[in-house]
Amino acid sequence: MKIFLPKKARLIKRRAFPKLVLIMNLTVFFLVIACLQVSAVSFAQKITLSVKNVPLSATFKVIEQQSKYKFFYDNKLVKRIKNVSVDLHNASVTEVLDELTKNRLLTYSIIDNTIVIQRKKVERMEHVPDAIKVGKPKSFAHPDIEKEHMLKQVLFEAAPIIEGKVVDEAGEALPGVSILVKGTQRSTSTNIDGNFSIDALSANAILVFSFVGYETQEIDISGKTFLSVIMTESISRLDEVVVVGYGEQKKATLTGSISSITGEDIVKAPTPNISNSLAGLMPGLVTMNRSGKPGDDNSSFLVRGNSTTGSNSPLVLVDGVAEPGWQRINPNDIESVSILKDAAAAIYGVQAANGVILITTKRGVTGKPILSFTYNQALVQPTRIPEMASSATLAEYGNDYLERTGFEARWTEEQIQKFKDGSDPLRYPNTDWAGGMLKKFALQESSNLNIRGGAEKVRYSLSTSYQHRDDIIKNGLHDFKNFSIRSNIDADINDYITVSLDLNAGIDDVMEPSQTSWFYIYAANPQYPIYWPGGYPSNIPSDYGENPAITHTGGAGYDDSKVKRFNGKFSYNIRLPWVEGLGVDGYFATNDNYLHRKRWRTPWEHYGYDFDTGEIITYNGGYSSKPELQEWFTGNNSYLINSRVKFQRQFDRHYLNTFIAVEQSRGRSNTLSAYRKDFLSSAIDELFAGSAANLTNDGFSSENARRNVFGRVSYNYMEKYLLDFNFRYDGSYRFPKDGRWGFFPGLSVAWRVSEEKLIKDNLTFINDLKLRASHGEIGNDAISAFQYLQQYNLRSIGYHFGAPTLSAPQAAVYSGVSPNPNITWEVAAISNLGLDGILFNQLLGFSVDVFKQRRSNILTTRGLELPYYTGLQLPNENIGIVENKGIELELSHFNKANDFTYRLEGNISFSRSNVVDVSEAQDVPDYQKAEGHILGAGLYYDAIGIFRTKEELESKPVYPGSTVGDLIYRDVNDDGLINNADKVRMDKSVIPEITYGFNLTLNYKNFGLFANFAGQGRAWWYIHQHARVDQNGLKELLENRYTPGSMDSKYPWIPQFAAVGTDISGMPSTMWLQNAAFLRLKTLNISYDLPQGFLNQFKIQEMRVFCSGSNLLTFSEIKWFDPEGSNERGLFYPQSKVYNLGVQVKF
Amino acid sequence: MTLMLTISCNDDFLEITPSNSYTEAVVFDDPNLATSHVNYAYRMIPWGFIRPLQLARMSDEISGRGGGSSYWRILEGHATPTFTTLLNIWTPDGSYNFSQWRPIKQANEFLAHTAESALDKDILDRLTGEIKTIRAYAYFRLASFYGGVPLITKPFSLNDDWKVPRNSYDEVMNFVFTELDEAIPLLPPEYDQANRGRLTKGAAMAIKARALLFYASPLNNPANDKSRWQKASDAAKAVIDLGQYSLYPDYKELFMEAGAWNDEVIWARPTNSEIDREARIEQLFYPNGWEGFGQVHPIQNLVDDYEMKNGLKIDQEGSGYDPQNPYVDRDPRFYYTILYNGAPFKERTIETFLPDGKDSPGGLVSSWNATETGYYPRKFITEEVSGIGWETSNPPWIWFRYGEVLLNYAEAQFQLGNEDVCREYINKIRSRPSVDMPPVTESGPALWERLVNERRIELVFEEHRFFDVRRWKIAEDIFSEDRMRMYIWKDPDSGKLSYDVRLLHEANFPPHMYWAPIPQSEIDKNGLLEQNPGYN
Repeated sequence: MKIFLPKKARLIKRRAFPKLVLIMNLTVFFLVIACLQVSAVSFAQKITLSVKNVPLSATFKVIEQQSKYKFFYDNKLVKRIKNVSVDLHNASVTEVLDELTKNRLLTYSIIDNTIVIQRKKVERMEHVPDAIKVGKPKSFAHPDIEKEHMLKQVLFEAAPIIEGKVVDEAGEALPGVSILVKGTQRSTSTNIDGNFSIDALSANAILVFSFVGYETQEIDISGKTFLSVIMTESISRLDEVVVVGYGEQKKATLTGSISSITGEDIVKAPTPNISNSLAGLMPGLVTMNRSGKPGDDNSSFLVRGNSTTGSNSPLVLVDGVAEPGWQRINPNDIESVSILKDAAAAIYGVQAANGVILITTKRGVTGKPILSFTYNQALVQPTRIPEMASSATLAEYGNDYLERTGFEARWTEEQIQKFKDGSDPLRYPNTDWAGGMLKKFALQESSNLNIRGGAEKVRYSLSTSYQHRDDIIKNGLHDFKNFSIRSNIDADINDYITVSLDLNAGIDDVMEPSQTSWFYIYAANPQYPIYWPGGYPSNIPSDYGENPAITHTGGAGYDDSKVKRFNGKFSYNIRLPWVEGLGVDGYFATNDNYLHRKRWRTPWEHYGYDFDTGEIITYNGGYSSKPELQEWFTGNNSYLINSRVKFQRQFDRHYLNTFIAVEQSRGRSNTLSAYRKDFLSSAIDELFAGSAANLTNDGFSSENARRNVFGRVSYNYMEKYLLDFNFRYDGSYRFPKDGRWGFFPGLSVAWRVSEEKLIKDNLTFINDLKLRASHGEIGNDAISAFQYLQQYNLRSIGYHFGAPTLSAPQAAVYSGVSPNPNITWEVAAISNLGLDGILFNQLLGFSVDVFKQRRSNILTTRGLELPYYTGLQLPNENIGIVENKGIELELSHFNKANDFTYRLEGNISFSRSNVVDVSEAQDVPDYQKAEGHILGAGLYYDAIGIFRTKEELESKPVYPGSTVGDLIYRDVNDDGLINNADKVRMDKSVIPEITYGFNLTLNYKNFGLFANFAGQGRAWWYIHQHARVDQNGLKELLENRYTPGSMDSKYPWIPQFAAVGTDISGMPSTMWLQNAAFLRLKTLNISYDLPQGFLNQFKIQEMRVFCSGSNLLTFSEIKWFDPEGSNERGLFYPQSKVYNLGVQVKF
Repeated sequence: MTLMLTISCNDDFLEITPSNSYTEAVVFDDPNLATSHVNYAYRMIPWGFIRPLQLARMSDEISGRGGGSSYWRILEGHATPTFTTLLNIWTPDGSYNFSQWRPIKQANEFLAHTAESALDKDILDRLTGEIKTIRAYAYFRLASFYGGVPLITKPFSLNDDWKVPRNSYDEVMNFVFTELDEAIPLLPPEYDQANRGRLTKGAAMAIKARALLFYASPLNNPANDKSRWQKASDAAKAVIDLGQYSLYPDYKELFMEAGAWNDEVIWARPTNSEIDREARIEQLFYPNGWEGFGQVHPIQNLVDDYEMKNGLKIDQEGSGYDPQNPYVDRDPRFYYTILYNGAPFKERTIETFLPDGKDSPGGLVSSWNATETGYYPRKFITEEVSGIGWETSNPPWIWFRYGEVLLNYAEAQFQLGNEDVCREYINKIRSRPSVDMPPVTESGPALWERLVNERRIELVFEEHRFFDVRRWKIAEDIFSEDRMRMYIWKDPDSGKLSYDVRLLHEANFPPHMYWAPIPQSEIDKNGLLEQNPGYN
């Protein structure tokens, strides 16, 4: 028996983790206690204790407050006894204590003013459960009580105390499993070792074991005192709790169309950017990863495709607060991600029409601290690098081009032969620029430390993480570092009040060259080496000497952005004692982030080579002859304050959950920038070192504000008939005074068919079947503010009068957009019909949704109707209607055989928009109208061949100036001429109409496998590629180009210019429109858990090693670039293929 | 509870005023802001260095790189309402952010809002004079390009009907004349040093003189109404009679930063290459051998039109022209305007010969920027800078200069039958000290030919040829001539140069192209806009 310490001291001693955290934790705790002390009426030694379902420790506190007594006890011991309900008035202390210890594994003794609570001594007969007959009185000795004189020996009648251990299928202890005595309020949960004990009250009680992600089990104790329970993983996930707007709901009772995944699925992908981990996992979420640039590789999201010509970005909230940089949240901190796709989003009002993504971070759980450390080291390669033409091909192409345009060929046959045979690699090289510039792989590492745990009254989840990714270019400057910390702490102040403090901070440091275009790598002339002998970067054809081996490695300077983020959130939750189920909660959140960007641009030298003398000739490169520096400071800060009154209660068969809330937010942004040039030396990159002549600075700010009232009524009858009504009355600063407030309702209903007796009794293969329907009207206000006002802008871009060199430009004032006093938000009317089911004992799960969205009042400009001569700058106006219809299907299959368990899940989503009404030029032919087509449908010439002969050229309608070798375009309007009027609107857009994913989770003994495939369909990418005499083009394009006399070349004359539409064969046409459908192995993760027995020697609770990968396989029709791109010229930092090794250790 | 929310019902919470812009009430009553509003109008006027020498490339003066596939198709006669490239001053496209409608919009806005302005009369008058002149000049340019255009004199608002028909050419030009007549008395003769570049009385008068000349020209005056020529003559003479301007002796320096604000300049756009990317003229024009971009290349047709020093055309008997040594003894303005093979420049001579001339496609340094015609421009640029990156000079872009006014007067006088006055004024130009060409003595059609060529040479690249050839109605001949280039071969063994004039590109000028096509995008938006004939 240990010495009892005062409670608070004990608390301190128990903690094993670093002091800093402890102090922080305690400080918070004490502060909270100090601020929120609850007073109680004191009776002299007479105790009134009336509590329901509160921790035992709470009752001690009440007793302490009403008497002179202090309690001493072992936390561990008391914590097991979770919920007590007592109703005693003016009772003596002993009466109260008797009541509290009755039928519990506790005893008490009173010594002076101290009440000592101890474990009742029971003769343990573990693993021999039937040996003890429950209900028979038995006495036990107490052999090892140290201070016998201080304590009474207590004999007691053995009550049906049930002890046991809960494990998962692998035999590992499951902490946190909740155990309920069926039909009572009595409950407990398993400790860290999976053990529990509970007073079952009756020998025939039934215990209900439940745990998120596992099947709920009911076990009849039938006289047993020890239970070994194996929890099996749940397939249906019906009991899972899903985060919805301002609350949580059981999956079984969800009425809206909401997809969700847990953090566990996210951490399987080796991409520290969470926006890249969601592809294929959630039906209805369209993810588009357009770039793999370190620090700038966010995927953009669309929920259920595109429904507006305006902003189509969904609202993303982290723990209820908009958090810029959410993509960089430590993946290990994420508890779940939910997407509200239908009327369920209405609760977010005027910002929610494009759907809402809710990210929830992990919180602490009661139990001993679990320290988890994860380390990932990955090798990153580009998914695809385009294959460029060889020197010889480019030379032949150049000759063709020059001769075609009336000039002399530049290369002789002999020279071309030398390019081909490599006999004179110095003068006639064939440089593979990408091959020479890029490393085999870039490095990416991420590490994460997470500590979660909790005492009886305080729970915490603390984490810190670090990520780093370097450049794929040799000595490349691109670099990304991210550091973040998060602390979520919950404290129960008393039985009624819980407060939480969430703090998180992060730093993103994105470094890139000041000149980043991949054009200079792809288009670099292979007839030049990267370096001349001696390592001198060559003078390849470019405007300013942009040899990428210089510009991408820092020779042109750098562009460094550092973002510091800080988010704080204080929340409270108060259960009002007077009415059961009534409570208030709310939070105050602040968000600060600061950007410091520094762009340092330096001139450089590049070199020519005299082949005869071997002399190196130095040339100046760069955008200025001396270094220059620009710096920006941008600070954004905002707060959000929120408060609600809620009521939740089961009335017999009726369940009601409702709340009403108010929220307001305000934000401000300030920017300050400064610029100097003509630095004497590039040794110091600080403003002071620049010239004092021609220095500039700038600054501006903006503000925003929102306020709203919102609420919800959820009702169900026996969880069979469900109804949910959401609304928000939302005020947005963006609109004129009398048009700021809008009402956004959402209604959804569901019928759990499977709960009907008829089905339950007869169709037993149906485990669950639910029919859902919803309709809501939601807003979108994502436009710039104040468009109802006439504004005049002031910029220093006016004329510079006076002598030319001395004058700075005069200030210029010009009008902004024309005022639109009637401006208001977009309205999305969203209807959804869904069917969820689980059949055949969970061998098949499915969910189908069909939806229709009608977006009206679309905020767009009448740009296509506005003649340029009006000089107007148009504001957004509420014009245009787009309908978007679609279907989503989700299937799952779960099974196990011997040691195998596996889950197969697949989803596919299709959505098609239809422009009902849009602002467009009225005098264009019908086949060019945007109305009646999908959003983003482009105008293309229909390329129907290549002119091969002069006769053909003369016999067909041509685009003026066409020559043999140019594309033949279809004369759509049959006017004998090809011109703009022959472009046709095509239902082809780079935004996919179909997205799908399927994944397999497989477990065999200690091995685990997760494979996630994701893909898209019905997407087209217009890729405009070109080449010039000195700028390289794609190998495939140049090798299969039209050459004079060719009767079967795949391509026409290769376009010359990047500028779209100036080259006859390069104009937007079906020739260059490519099918961007793809399927890729987005994530593969293979893990192995080291055997428990082995780990026990090192006091390691769990250790998992895993290898994982991202984008390991890609199948697509587009071969030139990664098919997920969208840049017309293919100029983007290539997406990442990741090979990762990781280890996770839990202590 | 410390966090009990107190969200009041006061809606002022959402009342935020913009912190980055001024409101209408402030702008037009404050002299500084009102001046800044006018400054922006100046800024928006399209000028000659943008898309460098846009109108010179649309003429038979100079060629731009990469002509083979883009704007050359216009010179082939293939301009269409959807393919306008350089033949467009109506809508901005791509990075080229200029349109003649932008200064008009700014002017309409200014005039509408200052009708009841509290500004001092002095400043309001001057600003009104400036902005009216800017608007008149823009309409004059539009009318010279397109013929009649919609005459818009008030700002549009969101709920107006934006569809308006074209006014006639005469209506637009008469508006120009009236407006200039109103503006001229409001404008001062000159400004202090810091305000140079603002429109003066003389500038408005020079605009009027040119506008009247165009109005009197055959294209726009098919009946050859002599009173129009008289008005043109009077207007030019009025500028001359101001006595404020004179010819600057040094023809080369006249266009360079060094000669800025000389007495010949009537209205110029000061440039600052730090701000005006288009004005980094050395970077754009320098030969590749000095790492310049070599963006434009004078064509052989222009070179051939420079007289010999003796005043004879190269193909005239006794001119002394040697096709194998073509650059000796030419009009001095040739040497001030064009860089040719052998021209001394900076530390060496220009080498446009093949196979390995330093400034030729066979050159070692950025050969992709080499000339396609054998020539580079020299007008506007200085040898004093490196030409690399931003290190360039800042030559003003001269809108109007006295030399042109003299030629305008000479032309009007010729049309009025006063050939001696015509000769006198042509010879004033030819006798500029740095030019010093023999006087012209011809009369009748031969004198007219000399006048035409004098304008071509004297005003080359200054955005005159494009309009002159059109208004004289000779474009079908002149602009249909094939564009030629000079091919120079240096025998690697003997070192001997041989010159060969070769075809650069065939050209064709169909008659409908006298007027530029109105961009189709504008017609799609406004069915009332009638396209110019021949483009449908």
